[in-house]
Amino acid sequence: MSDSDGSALGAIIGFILIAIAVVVVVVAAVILFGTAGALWGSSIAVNNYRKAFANNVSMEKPSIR
Amino acid sequence: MKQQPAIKSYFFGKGYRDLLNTIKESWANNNDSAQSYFSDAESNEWYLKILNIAAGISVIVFGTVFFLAISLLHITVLFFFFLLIYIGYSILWSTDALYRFKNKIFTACPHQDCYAKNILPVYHCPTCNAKHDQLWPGQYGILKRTCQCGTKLPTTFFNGRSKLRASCPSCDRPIEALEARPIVIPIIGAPSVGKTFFVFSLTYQIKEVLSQKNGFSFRFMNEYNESIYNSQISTLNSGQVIQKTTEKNPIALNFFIEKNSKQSLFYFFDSAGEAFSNSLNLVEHKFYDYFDGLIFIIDPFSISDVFEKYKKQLELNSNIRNSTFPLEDVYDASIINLEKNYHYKVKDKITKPVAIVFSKVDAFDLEDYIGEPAAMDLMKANPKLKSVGESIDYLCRQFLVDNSMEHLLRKFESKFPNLFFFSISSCGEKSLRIDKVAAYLINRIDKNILI
Repeated sequence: MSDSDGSALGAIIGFILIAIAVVVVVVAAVILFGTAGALWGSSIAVNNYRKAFANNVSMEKPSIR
Repeated sequence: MKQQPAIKSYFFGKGYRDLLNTIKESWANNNDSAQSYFSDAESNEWYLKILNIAAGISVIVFGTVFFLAISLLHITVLFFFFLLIYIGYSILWSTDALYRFKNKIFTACPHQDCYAKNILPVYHCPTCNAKHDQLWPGQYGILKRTCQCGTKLPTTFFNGRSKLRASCPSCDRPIEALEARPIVIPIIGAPSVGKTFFVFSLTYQIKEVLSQKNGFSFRFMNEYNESIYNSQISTLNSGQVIQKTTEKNPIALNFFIEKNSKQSLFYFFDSAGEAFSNSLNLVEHKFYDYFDGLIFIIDPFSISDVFEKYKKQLELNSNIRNSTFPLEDVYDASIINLEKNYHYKVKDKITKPVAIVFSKVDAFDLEDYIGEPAAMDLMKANPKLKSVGESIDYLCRQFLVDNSMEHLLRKFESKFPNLFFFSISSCGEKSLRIDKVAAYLINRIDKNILI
């Protein structure tokens, strides 16, 4: 085998490794941002529900005559 | 259920409104939050723009998912508690209703011109006097109801409802029945047959004699009844004549009898004899809708043949006031009233216990015809008759036959299959055989008070 064949193999392997690294970073970013988004959205929803609950739920008081 | 002056239980109204309002407001808040992020995205740096848009989308997507999940949880938890409350309410409402049904408890108004029958009286709040006319387990409370003034009122028979001040839903006058079983007995008879003498003598027997012998307690419903009784019974015991009854629409004489922790409230309705001259006079006597037994009083001297036989003696004895009213007219007016105004058909038999009572039997020699001496003689002659009571019953029927009143006897027997004849005299404490009438009726009406 000649030197040029060894270089081409190295390039291919390198390319594959870089591609895998990019995919991993992208997936990690998606998971990270997705999780952050989910946590953010859910915390807003929970807080809004808590406020609505506190505003609306109460026992009726008797009127004073 | 009608509107009541009380706070509705949370689980029967406000709970649903609060749930709906919470969900609506939470949804609106989420929308506002998302909108605020999108508004912020319009005027910021590009990286902040991206962040705000992402936040807005996150609120819409994940916020909605979590809003739905929390709403579902809220609904589930609340409905679980609602279900427990409804099951509890159903059990208690049914128990209360069943108790009243089984013990034949309802409210009978004893007041003149009313006599209305209702499920329960109107109960009054002890603090603000608000009227609660459906005080039972329901949407205003299960074991207790909160009046509009804040006072808690019991709602069932076992937690003190009957102790509240009560009034008749129809006429508004006080009811002191304490949710006891009413035992309603109208007294029927022509003028001057001795109905009033009988009622007070009967009450005396129940109060002073039978209660001691049979282990039940007696008390008047209120001071009014007690004072009337005391006044009339002292008149009777002193040998004087009671004033003639003039009210066509009577006021009931009421007293409680209690045995084995069960209370019954007796109602004796003593109308003026003139009320029986025409069935139209009886239309307002609504107690015929729910009576438990009847007492027909017959003055022997109102029978023509008997009157003729004792005419001269009656003229000499002014203290014996004989009735001149036709006996059959009283019977006819009573039966027509029952058939026209209540649910009795012409061919119906009235199976409630009926006592046909010959009064004034202590006069002259009537005891020798329908009294105890005659009964004892009859028993000797006829061994099939096992008791003095049975013999008197036979003798009274025969008395009607022998004195040209067989047609009336047949009318009684065909209409009332559960009747018995008695002969008595009503003289307060010296009465004859009135206790037998009481025993006959009470034993057939209320098995709790066996005499």
